[in-house]
Amino acid sequence: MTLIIISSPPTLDLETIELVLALAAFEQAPKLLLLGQGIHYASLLQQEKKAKGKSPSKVVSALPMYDCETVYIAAKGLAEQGLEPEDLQSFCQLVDDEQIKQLIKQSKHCVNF
Amino acid sequence: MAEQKLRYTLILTHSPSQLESNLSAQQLAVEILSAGDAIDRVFFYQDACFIGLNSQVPGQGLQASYQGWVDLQSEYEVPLQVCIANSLRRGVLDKAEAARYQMVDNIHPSFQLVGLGEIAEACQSSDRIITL
Repeated sequence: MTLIIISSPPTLDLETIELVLALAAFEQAPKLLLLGQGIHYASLLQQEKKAKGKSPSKVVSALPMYDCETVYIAAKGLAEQGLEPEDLQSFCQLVDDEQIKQLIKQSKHCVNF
Repeated sequence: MAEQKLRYTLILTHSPSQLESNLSAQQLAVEILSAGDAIDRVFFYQDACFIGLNSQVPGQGLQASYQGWVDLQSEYEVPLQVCIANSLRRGVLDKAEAARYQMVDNIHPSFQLVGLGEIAEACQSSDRIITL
């Protein structure tokens, strides 16, 4: 299992999520963990960043269709980013430090962005 | 008994002019190969696609950002793979893409444009993936 960890804020072209989608399309069953500013990828409050672009959460919402059914959110970072649980996509799961440790331990690879 | 070689994939994501990660990655690659381990691929993603630009004119006495990789590739045959979608967005083109879009190619010939399937392959076959 490959764990993609995103701690940087959403970019204009959402290339980090493209990588997750590609791994899912190649049946690698990636898991996505959002930390710090990376949590904004799952925020329903984020709008598209350029004309005719897609909002980060809209792209993230495609993940369950590729069998990446849970997006893990570091609970500790949520308030720091000024977000509430209800601001996130419904399939997000808040995780604490111990659960993050377990996710990393279970993964063959961790790819950080 | 001989130790088994570890197989690495390096993923670079940063612009060569913003951070020192390109140089750190080159040093890491040298260390990996010198230790007798293998590098399956170096994958250039996001702004790291600029590393392979062939049109760089470095200052006097300085090297282009791709030079260390080109040297490593000629010595160890390390595949230098650049994400094709990220490259096209940034105007980094090989001969085939330049012909397709009627533009001029501008990537060093040691680098190849590839799809994200290479990262899926890395997840399967590399023992370590390191992001810099």
